[in-house]
Amino acid sequence: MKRKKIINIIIVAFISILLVCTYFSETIKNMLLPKVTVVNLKSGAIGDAFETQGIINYENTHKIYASSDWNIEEISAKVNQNVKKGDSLGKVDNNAITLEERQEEIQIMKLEDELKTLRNTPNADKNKIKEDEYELSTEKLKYQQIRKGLDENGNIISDIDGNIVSINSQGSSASANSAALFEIADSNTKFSVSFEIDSNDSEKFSIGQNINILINTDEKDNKQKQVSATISQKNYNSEKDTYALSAEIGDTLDLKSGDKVTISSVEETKRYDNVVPKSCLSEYGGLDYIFVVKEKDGALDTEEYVQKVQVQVTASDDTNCAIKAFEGGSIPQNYGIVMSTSKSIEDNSEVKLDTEN
Amino acid sequence: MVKENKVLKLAGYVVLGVFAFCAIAPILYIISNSFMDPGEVQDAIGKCRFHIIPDSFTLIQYYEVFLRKPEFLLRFWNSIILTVPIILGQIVVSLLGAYAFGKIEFPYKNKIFFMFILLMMMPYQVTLVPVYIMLKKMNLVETYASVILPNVFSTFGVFLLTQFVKSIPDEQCQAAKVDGANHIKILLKVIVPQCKGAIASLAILCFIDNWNMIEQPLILLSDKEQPMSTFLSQINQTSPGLAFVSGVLFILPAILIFLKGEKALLEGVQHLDIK
Repeated sequence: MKRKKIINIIIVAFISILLVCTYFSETIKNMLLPKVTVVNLKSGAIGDAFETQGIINYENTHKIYASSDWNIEEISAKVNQNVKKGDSLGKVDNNAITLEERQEEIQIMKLEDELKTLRNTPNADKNKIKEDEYELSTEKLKYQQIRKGLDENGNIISDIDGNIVSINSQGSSASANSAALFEIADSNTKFSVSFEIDSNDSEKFSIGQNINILINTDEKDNKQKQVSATISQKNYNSEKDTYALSAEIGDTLDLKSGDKVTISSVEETKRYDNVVPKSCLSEYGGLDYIFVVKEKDGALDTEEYVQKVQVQVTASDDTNCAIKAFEGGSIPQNYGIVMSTSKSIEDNSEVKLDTEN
Repeated sequence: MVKENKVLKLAGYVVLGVFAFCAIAPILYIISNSFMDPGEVQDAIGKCRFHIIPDSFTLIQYYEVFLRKPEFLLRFWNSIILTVPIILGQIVVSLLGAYAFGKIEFPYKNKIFFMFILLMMMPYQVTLVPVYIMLKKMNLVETYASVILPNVFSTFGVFLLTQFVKSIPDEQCQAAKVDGANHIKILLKVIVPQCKGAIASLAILCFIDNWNMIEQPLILLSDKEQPMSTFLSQINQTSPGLAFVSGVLFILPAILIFLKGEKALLEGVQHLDIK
């Protein structure tokens, strides 16, 4: 009887332990896994180089305004669309334009009749004739202006080849005094880069100085192209204790307003492809390693684990170091590299990404 | 003469002792290795050393399995999900079959029963391909049902219970019939109460058989639905230390169920023997 009781207790205890451990397995696992913060490999400079981020702006664009009061029926063009001279960008109420034209034609005809009568009248007032002639030429100009930028069907026509960078259609009407309806960047469009620096670094940049702009040409392969720019403006912001700078880019490149670029004070040749914080390096037996975070399918969900990769340090300063793969190896790209961990980790250790920081 | 008998007795003990050790050594090996440090296990396996006494006793591998590797627990529950319905289904189907063969007269009864026994002799692998094709047509492959359904119909269960049902006097069934009971009522009120021991022994044998199944899950289930039995072979290659703990967890339910139903199992086997 006692034996039976003991067996029953063991069975219940065994099943209970397994049930509890399974039910709370994800919670328990998350509590026990080392939390790691990661950084991505990026290109950069080592040493006294100054680097910051900037934003590309257009210096000049071709603008299309409404030449008179237009009732816009449709905008067919889109931002970032390439257009050619003569392409339709939208449509206005053609009846209103035609009506305006006819009113203007009547006015012109009236003036022409009046002039004709005056000229045939003996001893006509010459000043009055001159006045009417002047008024007639003005009305003719007005008439030409009515359909400027439009074709006979009321389509708004592009008068340049380029790329539409902005459309400012506010509601269904546009007047001659309102902002440009379309802004088009063409081959003559110049770019500038604006960036902000701390007042402590202000001495490093002055108007007229050349700086290096690094533009990402291939996001996946982390490829960059370097161009130079000349600082044209430097304004102090007393509220933030920073300087807002603007530099004109000499080359005409395939850029867009709002593109983020890196501004560097060093040449590209002194930059390194794989720069990580020094805390990413682990040393075992005199050799340097980094831990790369990868993913795999797990029992519960996708699991993150670390892969230990041997690297060589090619340059370093107080905070960062440039690394390259050890002979015969490679550094896995596009993966996070462990910068800090809450517990010690080794090759193939399962980890949890710290997303709080 | 007495001395000669003593020597023979001693030799007998030695031979039996060797056999007993051979039988129990793998279990001891699994249990002792499950309490070792993973490094110690790896070292012993690397050096092909039969290392049975731990240098230091540790529960680190149990900690890993219970708290850090939920896949072990999920595989354990996969085994339960597969085994429990099979046992319940087999008991129901076998009871119905056994009642029919044991208590109902119908044409070719003995010949059909003989065919049942023949089927029992056939290894599972022979029917595996047609079973797979049928399950595929029914869109059941990679579901638990693909393993549960074919295993519910067991010829061994019918054979075992038929022996018990036959031993119940026909008069009891006839008396129940006179009282107005139909077949289902006779089965539930007369046969089942007297076959409890046999049902328990069938359940234990069925549990052990299906708890250890390998081929069906490997062929019919996806990776996530695999039970502990197939997972053990996979983990053996990558983490031998954890495989020992999994081994202990794997044999524990079988041992507990055997201890719980030991008496019923022995009765069932003895009954078969007598018949």
